[in-house]
Amino acid sequence: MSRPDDRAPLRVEGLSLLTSRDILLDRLSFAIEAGEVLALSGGAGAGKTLLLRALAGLAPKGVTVLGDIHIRGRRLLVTQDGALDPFRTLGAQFAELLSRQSGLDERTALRRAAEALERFQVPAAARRLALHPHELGEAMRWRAALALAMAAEPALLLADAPAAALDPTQRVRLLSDLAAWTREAGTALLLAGRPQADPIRSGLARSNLADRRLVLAQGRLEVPPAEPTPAPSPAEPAPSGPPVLSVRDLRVAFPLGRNWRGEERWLTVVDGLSIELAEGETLALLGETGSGKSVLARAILRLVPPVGGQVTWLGTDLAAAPPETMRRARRDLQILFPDPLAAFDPLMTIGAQLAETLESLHPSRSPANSAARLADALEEVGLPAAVLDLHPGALLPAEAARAGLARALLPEPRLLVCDEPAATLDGSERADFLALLQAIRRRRRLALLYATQDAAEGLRIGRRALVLLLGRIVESADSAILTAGARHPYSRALIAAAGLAPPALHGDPPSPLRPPTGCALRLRCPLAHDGCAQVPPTLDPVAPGHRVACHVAQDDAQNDAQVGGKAP
Amino acid sequence: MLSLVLRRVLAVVPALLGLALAAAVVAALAGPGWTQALGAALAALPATLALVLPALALGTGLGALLGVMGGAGAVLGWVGPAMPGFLLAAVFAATLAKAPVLLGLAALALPAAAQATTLAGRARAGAEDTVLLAARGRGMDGSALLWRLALPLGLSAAMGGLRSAVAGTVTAAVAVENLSGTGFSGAGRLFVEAARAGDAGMAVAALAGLCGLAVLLGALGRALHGWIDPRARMA
Amino acid sequence: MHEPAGTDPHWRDGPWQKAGQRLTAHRPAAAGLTVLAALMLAVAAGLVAGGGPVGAALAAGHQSLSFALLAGLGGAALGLLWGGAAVALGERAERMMMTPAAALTGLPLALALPLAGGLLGPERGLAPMAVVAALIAAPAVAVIARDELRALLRREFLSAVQAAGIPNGRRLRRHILPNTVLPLAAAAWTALPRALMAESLASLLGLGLPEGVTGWGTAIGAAARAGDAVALAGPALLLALTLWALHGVGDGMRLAFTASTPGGRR
Repeated sequence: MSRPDDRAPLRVEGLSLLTSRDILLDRLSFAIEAGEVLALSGGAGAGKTLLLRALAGLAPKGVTVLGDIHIRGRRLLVTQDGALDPFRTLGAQFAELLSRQSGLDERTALRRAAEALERFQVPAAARRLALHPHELGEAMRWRAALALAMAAEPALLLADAPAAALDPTQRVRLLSDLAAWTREAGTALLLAGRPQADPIRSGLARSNLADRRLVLAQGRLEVPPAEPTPAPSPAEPAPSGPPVLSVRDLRVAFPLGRNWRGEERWLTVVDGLSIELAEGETLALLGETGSGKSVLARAILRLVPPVGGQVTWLGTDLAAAPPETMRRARRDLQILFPDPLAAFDPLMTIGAQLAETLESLHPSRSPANSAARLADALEEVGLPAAVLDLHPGALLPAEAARAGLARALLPEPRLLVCDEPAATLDGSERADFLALLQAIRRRRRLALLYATQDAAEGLRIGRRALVLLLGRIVESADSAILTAGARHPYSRALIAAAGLAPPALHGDPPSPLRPPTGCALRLRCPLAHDGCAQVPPTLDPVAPGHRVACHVAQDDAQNDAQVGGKAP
Repeated sequence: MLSLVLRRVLAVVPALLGLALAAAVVAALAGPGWTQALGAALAALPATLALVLPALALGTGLGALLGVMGGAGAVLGWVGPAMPGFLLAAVFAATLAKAPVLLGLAALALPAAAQATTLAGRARAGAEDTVLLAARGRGMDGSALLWRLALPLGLSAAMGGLRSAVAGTVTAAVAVENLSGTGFSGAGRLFVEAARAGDAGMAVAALAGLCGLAVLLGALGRALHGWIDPRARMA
Repeated sequence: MHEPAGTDPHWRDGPWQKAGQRLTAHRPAAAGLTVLAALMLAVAAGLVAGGGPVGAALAAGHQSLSFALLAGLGGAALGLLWGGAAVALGERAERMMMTPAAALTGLPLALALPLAGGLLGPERGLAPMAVVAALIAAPAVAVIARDELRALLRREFLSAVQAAGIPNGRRLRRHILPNTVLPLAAAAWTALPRALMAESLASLLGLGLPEGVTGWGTAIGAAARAGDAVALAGPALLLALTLWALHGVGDGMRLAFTASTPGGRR
C-alpha cells in the first residue's frame, strides 16, 4: 500500500456529515498534496465552513462525522472572521503559539513572527508585534492571522473565506502572498470561498492563485464546469448630444466637530468632482471602499447634502431646486441600493411601497391604472404579481434586488444610479440580475451610473469609466481603453485584482482624515518618486478621451508624444 | 495600570465635586450645622464601602466564572432578576438572624453575581463561533482555552455591565444596613435615619456620599476593565 | 426563480405578527407574560375574596402594582419624550440632554424615592411619590430610546423613501413613526421593573407608599423587622415573581423588537 496519496497532508474518503434530520455533506472524497492549493467554492450555506470545521476536528455539536479523514502533520484552521486573541499583543500570541507547538523560546518566536509578517509585506513588522488586534486595520488583522497560522509551520492550512470583506485589491494581494508561501513551504492549503470571491476563475491564465478547484453544491463535491466567459457586451456607439446630467466641482464633506482650538474639522469624501453624462450613456465608477463612489452616487440624487458645487439635470440646478422641481427631477433620477432588502420599509408590503413611489412621483394616475403599472413593473423584472402582497421580510435577497429594480423603474426614469446593486448576491443570481439590468437598460435606453468595487464588472457594464481615489477622479477613459491599457497605477491595480492577478500596490489605503501630501496614492505606489509628494497631480489628457491624474503617467505620455513626433 | 486608574478617577472628579457642592448647598439651606452633616456623611462612607466593595468583587468574579463555565451557573443568571439585593436582605434578616455581616455580603454579592453570570454567559456564547473557534483552530485546548480566553472574555463582559451593578449594590447596601439590626452603621443607615427624621441636610449629604461612592467605584471598575481588556482602554 | 409562496406556511404573516412570534419564542418572555396575566387575575380575585395571609399578600400586590404601573407609565413617557426631543432638537441639544441622562443611569437613583418619602413626611400623597418614581425610571428609558431612534434614522429605507420624493411630513408619519413603535415599546417597558423596585425598596424602609397603604415592600419590611418568616414568604415570593416576569418580558422585547434584529427579517 504505497499509493502516492498516502503521503498527502490531507486525504478524505467518504466523508459524510449528518445531523439527526439531515445529510449535510454526502460522501466527499478528495486529497491535497503538499504544496498544493485547492480552492473550494460554493454558495452561502453550501457547507464549506462545516467541512473545514470537520477537517479541523472541530465539528459543531450535534453533527456526526462519518468516513475517514487522514491528516499527516499539523493542521491549522483560520476561521471566517480571522479572529485573534483580543487580550494579547501580536507578539505574545506568536510567542504563545510557537512555544506550545514547536517549543521555541520567546526571542526566536518574535524573530520568526517578524519574518512571517514581512512575508505579507507588512512594513516595520517588528514594531507591529507590540500592538493588540483591535489596534490593527481589517487588512492588517488578516495579514497577522494568516502569518500567525503559517509561522506555526502547519502541514495543512484550512482557510475559511479569508479576507472576504476586504477590497479586491487587498484580498487578492493577500491570497497570492499566502499561496506563494504555502507552495514554498510545502503546506497543503484549502481555500474556501463564495463564488463571488472566487479565488480562481477558469479562463484567466494570469491567475495562479489555486492549482485546483472544487465546488460544493447540495452536499456533494463537483469539478466545476468550464465557466463561460461573460459575453462581451455588443459595442455601442458613443452617445452623442448634449449632456443630460452635469456635475461640476461637487464637494461632499461631513463635519467631525471642533478640535481643541475651536476650528471645525471636516471629513471630505467627494472632493471637487466633475462628471458629464449624455442621454443613454453608461458610466462606471470604480474604486476601493472609501473612494467616495457611493457618496457621489447619493449626492447626485441629493440623498446626501453636498457642501459645494453643482448638480445639473437637463439644465436645472438640483442643489437650489425648490421641492416641486426636485420631485419632478426624481422621476428621471432613480437609484438602486447596495442592500435592496434594507431599502424597503419592513412594515409595509412591497405593493404599498411601490404604489407610494408611483403616487408620489406621478400623482395624476388613476388607481386602476397604477395597479396595472405595478403588475407590469414586477413582470418586467421577472417577479410574480403575488410579491406585491408580501412584506420585505418574506423576500430572498435575489427577489429583493429585483423588487428594488422594479421600484426604481416605476417612475420611468432616464438615469439609473446603481450603488453596488448586486452586493448581496453571488454566483448565478448575481449574473442573472446584472443581465436583467443590462437588458432593461438597453430596452429603455436608460443612462446608467454604476458604482462598484469590481473593476471587471464595472468595465463590462459601463461604456466609459471613472476611477475614484479618496474622492477625486484619477483616471477617466472608455472602458475598452482602460481594459487594454490603464495608465494610473491605481486603476491597473483595480483591474489586476478583478482578474485575480496580484495588484502592484502595497500597504493599506491612507486614512481620509489625514491624506498624504501630494498624490493620494504615493505611499502605496510602486512608481512614486519625490515629486509625487510635492504637488497633487491634476487630471490631464494623455490621449484623446483619456485623462489621468498621475505625474509618472503624464511624463510617460509626454515622452511618447515627443518620440512619436520625431520619428517620421 | 496606575495611569489608567488615575485617568479614570480624574475623569469623575468634576462629578464628585458637583455632588459635594450640591450636598453642601442643601445642607447649608437646611440648617446651621451643615459642616457636621457633611462630616458625618463622609465618616460613615468607609463602613458602606467595606460592605459594597467585597460584595461587588466577589459577585462579579465568581459570576463571570460561573457564566463562562455554563451549566449550573446559568441557573443563577436565570433567577437573577427575581432577587434584587434588598429583597434578599429582607429574606435573610427574617429567616437567619445570625452572622449578619456574612448574610449582608451574600445579599449584595448574589445579584451582582447573577448579572455577571448572564453577561459572561452571553459573551461566551457569542464568542463560541468567533474568537474561541479561532483559538481552537490554532490548536488551543480545554483548560488553557477556559482560563486564558473564555474567562477574560466573560470578565470583560461582566465589567462592561459594572456601572449598573454598582448602582444596584449601593442601593441594596442601604437596605442591608437598615435591616440587619446593629451590624452596620454606614452612610446607608445615616441616610434612612435622617430621612425618617425629616433632616434634609443630613439625608442629602448621605445620599450625595452614596452617589459619590457609586461614581468612584464605577471609575475604578472601568480602570479594571481596561486592565483586563485592552479594547476598553480607549477614550 | 423560486416561488415566494413556497413551503413556508407563515409567508403571508406580516411584520407585526412576526415580531409577536419572535417575542413569544423567547421562553422567559412567554413565561413572563403568562405569569403577569396570572398575577393580574389573582390580584383581582384576591381583592374580591380577601382574607388570610394569601389574600393580604394579593391585596398588597394591588397597591404595589398600581403604583408601579402609574409611575412606570409616567417614567416611560418622560423618558421617551426626553430621548425623542434630544434626537429631534439637533446634535448639540442631543449631547446636552443625553450626557446627564447617561450619567444618572450610573447613580443609585432609586434612593431618591425614600429621600422624597422622608422629606414629604408621613402625610405624603401618592401623586408626588409617583412623580419621583417616574423621574427615577426616566433616564434609562431616555438613553435606550435615543439609541434606538438614532439606529432607525440611519436605516437605508429612509434614503429610499427620500429618493421616491416623499415629503418629510409623510415620511415621518408613514415610515419613521410606525417603525419606532416596537423598539420604543421595548425601551418603555424597562421603566416598569425600575418603578416597582424603587417603590418596594422605599416601602421596605418605611419611606415609600403613604401610611395606611400597604404594598409588598411595606409587608416585607414589617415582616423582616419582626423576624416573621411566614408573613414574609407571601409578599416576597409575589414580588420576586413579578420582577422576574417583568425582566423576562423586557428581555424578550429587546431581542425581538430592537434594531439589532430589524423588524420583519427572516
